[in-house]
Amino acid sequence: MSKGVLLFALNTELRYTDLAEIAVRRIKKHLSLPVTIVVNDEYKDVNQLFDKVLKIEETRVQHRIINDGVDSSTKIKWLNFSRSSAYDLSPYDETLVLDVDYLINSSHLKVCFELGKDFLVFNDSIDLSNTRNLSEFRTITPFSIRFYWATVFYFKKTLLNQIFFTLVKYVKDNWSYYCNLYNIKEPKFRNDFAFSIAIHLFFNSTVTDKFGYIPGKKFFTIDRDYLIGVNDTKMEFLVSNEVDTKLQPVAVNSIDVHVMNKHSILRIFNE
Amino acid sequence: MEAKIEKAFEIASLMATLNSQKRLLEEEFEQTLLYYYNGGVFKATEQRLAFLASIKSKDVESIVLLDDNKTPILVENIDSFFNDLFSHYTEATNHYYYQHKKITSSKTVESIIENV
Repeated sequence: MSKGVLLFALNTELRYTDLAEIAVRRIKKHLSLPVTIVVNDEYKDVNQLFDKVLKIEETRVQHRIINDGVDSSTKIKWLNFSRSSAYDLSPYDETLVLDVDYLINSSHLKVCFELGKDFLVFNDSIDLSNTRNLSEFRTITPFSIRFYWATVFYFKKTLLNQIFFTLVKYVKDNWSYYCNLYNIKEPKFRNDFAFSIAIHLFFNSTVTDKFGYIPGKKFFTIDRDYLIGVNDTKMEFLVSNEVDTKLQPVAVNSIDVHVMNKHSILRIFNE
Repeated sequence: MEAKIEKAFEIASLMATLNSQKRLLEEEFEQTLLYYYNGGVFKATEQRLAFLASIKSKDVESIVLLDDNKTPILVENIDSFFNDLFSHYTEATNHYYYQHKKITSSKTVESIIENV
């Protein structure tokens, strides 16, 4: 059974391939797994970091505003329609799909390959700042179904998962209908929402011998926070809060973190 | 008076960072308590260890336990499972103890972050 990691790095104004090159080094160091990258341009893997480079055409385009901490924000293209093709694209029998801004600091995710489940996703998450109310990451809308992050998930190539990913694509292709059905006000397509809906419909959000949760919680910082220091296992941040404009320092060691401020990742690793 | 207010804000900032870091340390600890066996996830809790200790004396070699996701998992050798879970527990709590001590004895915001 082949095992590996799949990264989606579709370049826009933001160089997702640069982020992927940072992510892959940490994946190899801590997880010792081959990594396949999915790109949308003529990316050359000059440092031979990746096991495979897959080029896809992404024709559907959205825009979104991304922050670089509390002072700066930009509107950029957002090419996020291909995540549901992970099943077709992955060259591995068992695949761990990661966002390029999910930075690995431990071997924790290796356990996904040992639990014997067909599909695994994080059930819970924790914000590194303890002063924010981020209820948007608990349910997809108030009083609605449970929110699951599509940032990190594991799947095996099984018939069950083939059908599951077909359902995710169906949700994506009928997005305005599902927005109405689940009372989602923001019309932009989000993989987190599409996967949450599909998990709700298909697995009924219930742990079985096929579907389960990645043990532990997904640690994250939002794009209003700054990554200010990093070594092989430790990360230091300045996190914002909702009360005032003051930033607070926090650090984690041997814990993987979803660092949503992509600009700060590029800054720190290019220093 | 101004110096006193400045000191008060300095202490407030130190306490905020300390509390925030203690919360993250506790979350890290919860994660390190997880023990994986035969496709199951078992948190090394005092309750689970006490239960295993009590059945160890019953002269049974294997048992089916429900893991944290309520999945039944066959434990073929209770003694060895107990020993592994217990050493996992002590390793996690020892690490937590020393990390906690390190950050709570820090006198500045910088040293708290440094000691993580």
